[in-house]
Amino acid sequence: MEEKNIEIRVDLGDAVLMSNDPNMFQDKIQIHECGRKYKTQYTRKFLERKKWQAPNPNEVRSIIPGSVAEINVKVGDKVKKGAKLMVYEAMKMKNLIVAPFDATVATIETKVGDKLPKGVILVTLEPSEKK
Amino acid sequence: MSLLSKKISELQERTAKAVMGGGDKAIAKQIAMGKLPARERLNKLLDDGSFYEYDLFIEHDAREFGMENKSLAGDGVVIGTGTINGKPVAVYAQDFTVAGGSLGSMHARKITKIMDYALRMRIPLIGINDSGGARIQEGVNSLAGYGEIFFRNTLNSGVIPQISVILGPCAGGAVYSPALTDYVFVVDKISKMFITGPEVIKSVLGEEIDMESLGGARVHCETTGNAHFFAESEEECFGQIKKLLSYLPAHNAEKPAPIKASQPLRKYKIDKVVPVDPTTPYDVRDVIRSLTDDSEFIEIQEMWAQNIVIGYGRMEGRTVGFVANQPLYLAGVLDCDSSDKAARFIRYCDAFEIPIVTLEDMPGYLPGVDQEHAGVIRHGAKLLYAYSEASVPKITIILRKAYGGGYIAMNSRHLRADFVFAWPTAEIAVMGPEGAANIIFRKEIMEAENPDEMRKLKVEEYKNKFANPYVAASKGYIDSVITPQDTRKFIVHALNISDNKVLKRPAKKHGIPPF
Repeated sequence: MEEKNIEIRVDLGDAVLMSNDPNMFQDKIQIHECGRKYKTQYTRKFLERKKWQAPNPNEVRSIIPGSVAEINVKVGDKVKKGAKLMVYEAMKMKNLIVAPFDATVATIETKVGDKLPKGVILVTLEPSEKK
Repeated sequence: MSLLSKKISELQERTAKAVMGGGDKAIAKQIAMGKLPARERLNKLLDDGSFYEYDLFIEHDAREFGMENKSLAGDGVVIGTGTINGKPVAVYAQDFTVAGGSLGSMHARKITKIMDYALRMRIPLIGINDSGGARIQEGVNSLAGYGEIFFRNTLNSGVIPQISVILGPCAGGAVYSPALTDYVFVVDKISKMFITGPEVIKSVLGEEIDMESLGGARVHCETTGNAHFFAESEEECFGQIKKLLSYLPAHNAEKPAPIKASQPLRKYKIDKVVPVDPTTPYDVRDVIRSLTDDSEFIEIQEMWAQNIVIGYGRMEGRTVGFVANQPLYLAGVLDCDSSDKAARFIRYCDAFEIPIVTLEDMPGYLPGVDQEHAGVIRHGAKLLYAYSEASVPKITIILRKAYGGGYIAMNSRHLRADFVFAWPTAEIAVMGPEGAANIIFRKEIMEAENPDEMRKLKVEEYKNKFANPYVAASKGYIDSVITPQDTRKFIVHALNISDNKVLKRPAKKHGIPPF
């Protein structure tokens, strides 16, 4: 795990343990109390968790695994909110991918026939200036 | 001055002081944050002049940390009764101008008092939340207060409608009262809900996030599904509450009062909404609007799990709950969130005697590792459970696709739908024609000189044989194949027929739904 500017404190009554590294506590610390030993462990889910990142609204991503059936815009096109950007075939449906706001098409990251998993960038947009 | 008028003027003075809450400065601060003071909120929510306040002169009983010398007006919460659309409701509103709306034991006792009234009088309860959280000076008494509220939320659940309005912060344990109620209303930029705030998250996990992205109104409407209605302003929010209440009964022993019947608007043409090609998407809400009186439909959780649509409309004047797959989003698939969303709504309709109309057009449950690992088995099971358990009139219309496990889950005959109707465009089968042909005719396709051509031929053969409503009709799994134009007529008739529906169920304390 990368270095972080955080501090973890474990209060044991008399003693306080401090560390900047959350991993320090895993498997390593044993707390003795009344002759018992405790080990702090993390769940796999916690260790493998993805860090939260602010979503970028300008990226139009695939919301379901599927394939690109049609691309209806090209780079530089000005599109209105709700305009059809592409047809994305998934789950027996020709899903319409539409512009979430008035924008100019900045990049197209896929081509017709691409088979994609969920969460891949399809198109990036440059939002139009608000009047 | 006579003795009586002296006494009366004392009352007036005391009242005037108490209704000032935290005083001019605190009220100005509240308004600067874009929020209305508590009593003004209640006056806007309730019918004009209908609000009656109780427990105005309550004093807190904290005796520590200098609290003994402090007086908090009404202990930071306003309770009372009034009417909405002319019908009685019980209300409380936390007053952020008084000690940040913090919850102490007397504050909690006021809330639980009005909750008990609501249950006893069998009228809806509306709570406006705007509080910094527990009053730390009162320690465990404050926690006890929350516990008493949660317990009553659970007790009231399914007896009277309970509505939570988040008009400010609602953090830590406090969030569990809204979570236990039926409908949560939030307002953009004003509502904040979370268990642990950005600072705790930063110090424990090292993750940085601002309050709005963590627990703002939009997050709870789009991502978590904790909130049911999103508004841009407090006034819009109050309008939504009034509208929702017009569809609901006051309690579970009465049916929602019917209003004058009317026809759907002419601009919604039911035969034009749904494309015959099953791979072309459309907005299923237009189908709902072409069925309901005045084409009115109030959608719940509009922005979350959009692949299923839930909400209320009226047919011939009576309230109907709609559950509809939405081909416009995620091809209308069933997944963890959409099953969760629909299942809770079905249980709500069932608890309050609201008939359920299901509009079905879905390809099945969503495949994928993330769905499987997110527990689509147990989430999907909620939908089966809710439909099977519901004893209100249940009517299903199959518009187009009804495949696989989804067909069973979407209120099929097998889960005891009272009526199942299908349009001629319906396709009811174990799986889609492509997948099915590949499995059934695997050998023929493999051994053919031109496998692609053979596959096409076999897909067509399967389509003709099974991708229609007549196989299911021949078994009695659907009652009638009907035209889109006749749909409203059939539903209204079915509702009339099922008005006095009785159902015998085995005696039990309660079932164990997979939640």
